Amino acid sequence: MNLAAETTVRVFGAFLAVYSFAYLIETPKKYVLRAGLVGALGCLVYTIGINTGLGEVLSSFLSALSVAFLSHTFARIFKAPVTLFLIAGILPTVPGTGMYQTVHYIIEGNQKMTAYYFTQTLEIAGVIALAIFVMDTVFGLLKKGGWKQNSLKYVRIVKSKVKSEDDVQ
Amino acid sequence: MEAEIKTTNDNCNKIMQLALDAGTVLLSNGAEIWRVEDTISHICKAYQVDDVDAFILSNAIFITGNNDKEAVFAKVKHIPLSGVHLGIVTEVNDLSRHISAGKYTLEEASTKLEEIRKRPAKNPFYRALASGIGAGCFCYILKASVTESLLTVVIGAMVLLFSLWAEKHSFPKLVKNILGGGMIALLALAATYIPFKTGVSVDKMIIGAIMPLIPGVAFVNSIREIANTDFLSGTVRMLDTIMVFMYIAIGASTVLSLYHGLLGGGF
Repeated sequence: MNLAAETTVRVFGAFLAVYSFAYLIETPKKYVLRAGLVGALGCLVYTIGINTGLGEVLSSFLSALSVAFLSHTFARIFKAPVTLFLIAGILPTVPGTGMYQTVHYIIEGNQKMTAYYFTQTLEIAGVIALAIFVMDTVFGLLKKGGWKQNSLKYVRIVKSKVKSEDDVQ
Repeated sequence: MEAEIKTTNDNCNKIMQLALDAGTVLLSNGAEIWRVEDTISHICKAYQVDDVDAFILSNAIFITGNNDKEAVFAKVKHIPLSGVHLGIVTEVNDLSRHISAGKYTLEEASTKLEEIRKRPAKNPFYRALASGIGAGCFCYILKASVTESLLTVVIGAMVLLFSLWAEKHSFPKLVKNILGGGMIALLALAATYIPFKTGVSVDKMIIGAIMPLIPGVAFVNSIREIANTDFLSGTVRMLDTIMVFMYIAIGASTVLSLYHGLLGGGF
């Protein structure tokens, strides 16, 4: 019970944080709330991952994967650039902490901690990149496999339509 | 249909200029490379200029266009790495879709683009507030206490105001971020002198407060550009991200080290 309450508070915190940052990078008003939702989902997945003992790196991967998935879905539903949701949504996962700690320990001259935080930062940044790669590729395949962006909306490519285009040429 | 096809030299120039302007606006406000490429090709296609080549880097656009009748349009445009305004990116994206759907004439599109480009940034006060709340929430997510989070709200807001001020006076990126990091550390250290019942942790406040300075847009865009095989631009932006991270951390750590080293952690 306590865990559930803590998770709820954290997820709400992430929502508020991502909402603020979406506002900060001048996301249009109607998308700010949705960006916040994306961030909240990412935090929820991350927290669940940590609590079930998946470890920091795998949790980050799953979190980034879900954030990227929801961003792509929202982008297609609301016909807006994917980055609107992705940039703010991914922020809680970005290893800002690790980056700071790495440099902090470099300056302090503590090599052991430097190595630890440096490796962790690289791992997390790597899995975030991997998650974004995966989702970009999956949705890219979806586009080729029958769904095409036709100026204002996504349409299913029908054979007769392709034929008519050929006729024009 | 026929009315649209008569592209005179004048028109070809204007069309290409519109496409180039749209690309410039997109690129300078934080769009990805392929979005710029797509927008340029959509606009040119919509106005019947077929033979178009655009080569886009993270800070430049090279474009040539030809309609087989008149002189070739060729231009190189330098666009310095600059700020972020996703609202403008969205608007230009919509504009390009509407142009593709044939809803705008050339003049209308040019006026609309000019209108979009002049869209002002949000009020610095609200942005500072957003920055503060964001920083505070991040601090709270990282398991800080409520007191620390509230202090971080203040620090985050002040740092954004500093950052906006530095941008206005066109400070170099290095100076801006090192000073920003140093300022965060100073403010966090100052906060520890406020007498509370429970002590506050400097580290957690610093980690929360550096979030508004972190170049999230450049980070995500660089990854997606590399994923999309725009290696050149992706690498440039990735390097930009890493350097900014480094500057902030160096600024903050230097202040902390000086405090602990020279002053022995207290006065």
